[in-house]
Amino acid sequence: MSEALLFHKNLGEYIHTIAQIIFRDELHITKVKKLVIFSMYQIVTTTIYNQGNQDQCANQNRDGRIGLLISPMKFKNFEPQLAEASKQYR
Amino acid sequence: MPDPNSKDEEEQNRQDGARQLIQLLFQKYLPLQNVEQWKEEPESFIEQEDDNYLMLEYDMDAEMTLSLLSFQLIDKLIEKFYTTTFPFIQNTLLQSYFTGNLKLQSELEEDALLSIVCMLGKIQKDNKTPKDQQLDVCFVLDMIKQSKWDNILFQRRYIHILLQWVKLIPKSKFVHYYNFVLENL
Repeated sequence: MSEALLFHKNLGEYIHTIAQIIFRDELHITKVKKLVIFSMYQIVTTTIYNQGNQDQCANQNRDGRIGLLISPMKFKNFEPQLAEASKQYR
Repeated sequence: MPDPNSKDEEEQNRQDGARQLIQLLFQKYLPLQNVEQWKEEPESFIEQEDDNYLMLEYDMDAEMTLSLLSFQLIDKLIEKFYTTTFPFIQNTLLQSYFTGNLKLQSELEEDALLSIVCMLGKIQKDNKTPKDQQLDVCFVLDMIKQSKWDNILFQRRYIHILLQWVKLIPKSKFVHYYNFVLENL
């Protein structure tokens, strides 16, 4: 679970890298382009990425999957880990 | 989304990636790449819009083109960030296209932009978007009828749009658009 939190903290850089590859398309072969578009698709559909979006939270709940970062109770339980993750990536 | 009122500098300067990505993807990657195949082998010309191709797992096959992948990514971006992406598509991209201010390189790019209209039909149907908040798809269909119909690529796009919007267009109007296809193909 801590991995997921670290990923969340570092997601901005990851998205930035992928976006750079998409924007500089002339530098890359088709396989790489396909891979980054697929990666971006995975990010966009990731629960963690969407946790700040209230509408999206509602959709996730409707699907019967309540993510760690959506549920306030579960989120509270992981506060120490979250603080540690923030410290490491500061 | 940037939040100018936030105390956090990072939040203030946050870029709206979804809109930037949609614009970039539709111009660079969304235009059909295997359109030649359509002319040579019409029966094997398969793409997402025809076949409801779903990206369930990563597929490096030649059939999974950049266009297909982009189609699905843009569709997802609109769905997930609807409150910012829909106004952007309606008021910026399509508006500037219809007024001639959006310079597109080819008919394939135009077709790519219009394929987003197909996506919106599906998304607004799923969201049960109220009539007054829906895209004016009749305007788009009329535009294709009036100024693009001599190009088979846009005839195909017209039919795709009509199919995706079938449940949203009022019945009386739908018959009109449907009959136009029957009479002119």
